[in-house]
Amino acid sequence: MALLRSILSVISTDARGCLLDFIEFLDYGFIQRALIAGSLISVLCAVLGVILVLRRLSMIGDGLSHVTFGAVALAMALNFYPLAVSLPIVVVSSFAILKIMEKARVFGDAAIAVVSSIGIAVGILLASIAGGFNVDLFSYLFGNILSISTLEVAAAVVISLSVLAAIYFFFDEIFSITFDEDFARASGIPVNRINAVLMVLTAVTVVLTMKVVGIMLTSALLVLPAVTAFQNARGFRNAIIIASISSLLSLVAGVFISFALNLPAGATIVMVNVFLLCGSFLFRYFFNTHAAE
Amino acid sequence: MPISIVEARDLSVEFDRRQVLSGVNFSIRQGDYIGLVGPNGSGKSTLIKCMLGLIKSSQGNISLFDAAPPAMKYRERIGYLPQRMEFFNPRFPTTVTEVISQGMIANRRSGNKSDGEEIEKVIELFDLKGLRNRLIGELSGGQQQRVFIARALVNAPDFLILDEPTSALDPEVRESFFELLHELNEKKDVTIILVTHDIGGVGQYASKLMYLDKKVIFFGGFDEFCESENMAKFFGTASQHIICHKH
Repeated sequence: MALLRSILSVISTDARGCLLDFIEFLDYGFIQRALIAGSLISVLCAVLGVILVLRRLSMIGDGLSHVTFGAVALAMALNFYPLAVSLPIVVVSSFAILKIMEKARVFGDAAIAVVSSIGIAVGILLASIAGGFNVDLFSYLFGNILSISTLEVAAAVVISLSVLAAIYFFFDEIFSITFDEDFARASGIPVNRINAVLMVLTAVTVVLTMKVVGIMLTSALLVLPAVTAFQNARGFRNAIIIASISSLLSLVAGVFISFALNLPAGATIVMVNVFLLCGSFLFRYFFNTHAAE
Repeated sequence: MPISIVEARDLSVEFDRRQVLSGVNFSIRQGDYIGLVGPNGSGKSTLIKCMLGLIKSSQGNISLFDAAPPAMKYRERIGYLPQRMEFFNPRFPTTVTEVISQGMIANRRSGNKSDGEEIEKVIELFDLKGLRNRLIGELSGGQQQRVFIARALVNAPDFLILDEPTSALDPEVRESFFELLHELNEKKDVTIILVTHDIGGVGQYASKLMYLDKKVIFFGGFDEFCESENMAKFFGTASQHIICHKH
C-alpha cells in the first residue's frame, strides 16, 4: 500500500484517481479475502486445466460441478455445511468416472456424461423434495466470491498450495503421462496411482471453485485459461505458465470490474477469460506463433 | 553364457475372449538383435507390451531382467519406441527438447542425475539442433519420428524395443538409423527387438528372426531359417527366398 501511495505522487491526476479507487477497493476485507482465495484457486484451475484438456477430459469440470449441485442440494436438505458434504461425494464421483472409463470401455466424455447426469438428476430431485430451489441453492449455482468467509479462505490457501506443491514435485511424471501414457508406464511411472491422485485433485478443485464462479461456470475456469495458453504456448511448461497468468489476470480484473460496475463476479471473471482467449487467438492469427499451421 | 534379458513361458493373452497370443515361449539373450515380424493382428505389439508390463498375460509368464511385471526393475536400462499413431496428439504444446527429456525419466526415478549432456548428444546425433525449440506438431512425420527415436535412445539403454521405427523415415535417414542400431548392437552389446512389416528387408539388419502369428512360428538365426524345410513349407519357397536373399 505504501509503495502504491508513493507511486501516486508522481503520476497524472486521472491515473491517480483511478489508482486511488483501486487502493480503496483493496481496503475492503471481503475484497482481500476474494483476491487471496480467488487468485490461488484460479492458478490451481489453470494448471489442472492444461493437464485435463490435453488428456481430453475438458468436460470433467462440468461433470463434477453437476455432482456438486446434487451434493449441495443434499447438504441443504439435511441441513449440513455444503462444502463438507460436497467434498467426499465429488471425490467418490471422480473415481467413478475413472472406473467407468476403465471397466465400461468408453471414452472420458461418455463416463463424465454418465456421472454428471446422475449428479444433476439427484440434485433436482432433492431440491424438489426439500421444497424447491431456495436462495441458498441459487447462491451455489452462480457463486459469490465476494461472500467468501475467512474459514473458506484458509481452506482455499491450504488446499491450493498443497495441490500446486504436489503438481510441482511430480511435474515430470504428470507431463509424461499426459503426453504418452504407455511410454510413462514403460518408464516405471505408477500411472494408475497418479491418475487417481489427479482425479482427487480435480474433485477438490471443483468444490473450491464453486464458491468463486458458481457450479454453472466451474468448468470455464478449468478450460478457458488452458485454451488461451494453447494458442501461443511454446512448450508444456510454457503453457502452464501462460494459463496461470491468464487465469490470475482474469480473476483480479473480474473481481475489480464486477465491484466497480455492480455485476455478478463469477460471470464477469469468466467473460474476462473469454476476452483474453480472443486476444490470444488474434495474436496467434496475426503473428503466426505456430509456424506449421 | 550371455545374460538372459527376456524369458517367456507358455505366455497367452486374451482380449474379450479373443486369443491374441497363445502358448508363446522364447528366450532373448544379451546382444541379440531380433527382427520381429508377422502379419497384421499377429500379436507383435501385444508381445512387446507384455514384456514391458503394459498388458497383463492371461496365462503363463514373462520376465524382463529376471523380474516379472508389475515388479519390473531396471526400467532405466530400457529404450522404448511405441507405434507413433497409438499415442500421438500433434496439437500437444511440447517442444522437441521436452519430448526427448522424457526418455530420462526412468533414470531420474532410479536416482541417477542427469545434466542434460545426454539430451544434447542425441539432439546432435539425430540432427535435431535447429528443431530443439520447435513444437512437435510443427515438424514433418519423419522429423517427429527422429525425435521419438532420440527419446528411446537418450538414456543409453541396454535393451531397445522399437515398434515400427522406420515407418516415416526417408531412405537416407533410414539407412543411417540402421547403421546406428548395428553399431550399438556390435560395439555396445545392446539387445534390440525391431518390430517391422518389412519382412523382405529384416535379414539385412537383424541377426535373428522371430515370426509371430499368435504363437511363435519361428525363432532363430537367419541361416537356420533359410535352410529350414519346415519354413519353406510354411511360407512357400518364394517367400522364404525373399526373406533370405538380403541376408
